[in-house]
Amino acid sequence: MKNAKNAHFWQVDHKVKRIAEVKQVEVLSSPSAWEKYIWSRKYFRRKPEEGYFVWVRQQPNIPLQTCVNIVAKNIKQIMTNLLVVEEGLKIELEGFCGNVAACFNGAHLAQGSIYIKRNSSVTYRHIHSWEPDNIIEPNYEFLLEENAQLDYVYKTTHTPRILKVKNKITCLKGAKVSIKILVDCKNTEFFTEDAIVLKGKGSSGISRLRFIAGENSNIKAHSLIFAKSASMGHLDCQSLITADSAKVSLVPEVLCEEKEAQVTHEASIGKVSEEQLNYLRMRGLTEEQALNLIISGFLRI
Amino acid sequence: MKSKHLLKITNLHASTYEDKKILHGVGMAIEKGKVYALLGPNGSGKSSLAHIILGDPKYEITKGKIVFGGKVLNGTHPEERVKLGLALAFQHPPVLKGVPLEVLLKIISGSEVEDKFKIAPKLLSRDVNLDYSGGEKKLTELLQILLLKPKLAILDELDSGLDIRNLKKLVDIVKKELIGKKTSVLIITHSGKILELLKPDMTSVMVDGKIICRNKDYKGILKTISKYGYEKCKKCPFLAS
Repeated sequence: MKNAKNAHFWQVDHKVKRIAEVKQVEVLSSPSAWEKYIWSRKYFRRKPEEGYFVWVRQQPNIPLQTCVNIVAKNIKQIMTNLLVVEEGLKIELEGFCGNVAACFNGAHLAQGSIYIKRNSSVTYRHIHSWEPDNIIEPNYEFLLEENAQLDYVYKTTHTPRILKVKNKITCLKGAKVSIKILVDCKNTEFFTEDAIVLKGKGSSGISRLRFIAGENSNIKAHSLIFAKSASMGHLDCQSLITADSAKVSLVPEVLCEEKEAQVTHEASIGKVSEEQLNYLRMRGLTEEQALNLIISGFLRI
Repeated sequence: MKSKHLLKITNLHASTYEDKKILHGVGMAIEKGKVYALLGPNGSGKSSLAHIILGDPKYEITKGKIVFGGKVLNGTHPEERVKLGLALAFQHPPVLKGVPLEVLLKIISGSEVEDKFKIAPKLLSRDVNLDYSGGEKKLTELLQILLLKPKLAILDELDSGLDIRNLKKLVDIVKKELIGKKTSVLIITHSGKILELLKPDMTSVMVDGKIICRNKDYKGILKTISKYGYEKCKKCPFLAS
């Protein structure tokens, strides 16, 4: 569908439900793109079975959207996604993946590649919301060419039984990245690994992680900033424990191979402040309302 | 017979949960629509008393009782007490990072934020108490109290850290929106200058977790304190029983 009012890709279970394009943006299923564009094969990390391909060729004047749902039982999605943004463009992308009904024994295994070419800027809001009995593994790699910028937010509002999140971002000369990973866990085994590789001179990266460790949750996070050139990076990793049955392990790591680089980190694990909780209760909020407000504030960065 | 007292505190003893004794037999009664003042030096237990009245879980009542609007408050949660009509403006309110003031006000008021008092229009989008000046904290505390529409408003050190312009602004709002609407007010202070502006109906003095003096003549009490300090209060002719 050409010349639509917005550009989006919508998949339910294994079926592509709708694709809409504008003239500046080509949207295809990944298997179709693999066949149509030989050049795309060097960008895909594997031959795709399903997934989306978004190629931003010129400046669009609308946000781009992707939506991938699981609605049936026993669905295992193996997504291979690719976003290519040509030079000098500024785009906003909203991606939603989640259940829209109670689903059982589902899996969403996504391998994504995002290429942001020279002088382009991408704002990407990636939202997940899953029913408990699912296994979810988003694994994304980003390449930021010279002077490219990425503002990436990954947020899970409802966590599945198992959640494994991986992000690797490589920044070339002058590229800038800000990533935020915000996860509110309940009854979840959550593993996350993110790495920002500052490869080019003058590149910079900031990684901010906020995790809520609720009832029966086990969080293991490893976050890395690797400065290979004269660059700047900062890692800010914080977790709030709200239940006795929760466990958290945060491992921030900074690596440096260049004397002109500056990389810093901070990490903390703490409980909800009694002072804040009681203050809000003395404003008439119930304990649960107060806790939810504090948690939403913690995740709002 | 219905009591004329909105709040009645009898022989109240309280400790922190770390077992530090804070109050040693406090008695206090506040009538509907009246303005009360509680004076005392730093660390005398004034703020703790306010928090205990509101049911702060940090404290434990070991003896005595608090009755508000005919209902015994001992053992009730803070939010229940707020529903009954109690409200406390904190001396040192905590920062709520990531919570814009307008979000909190909306929850408190149960509707869209309407700062009809024009107290904090510039602060609405900022996180609660984050990098606020002393005056901004006091103003926003008062705004929250007004939105709760209490029967008894406890204002803890509302005057501390305020310049005279802001103090007058706050006092005008308290007069118009609280006292003018027959809300009982308990002013907690250790300096006394706010008393000159609000002219309380009754003033008490607290030292070492006890009310040691109570009188309608706030000027007389202030005069004694300024001349002899709080220690003299223990010997003054107005000594509370």
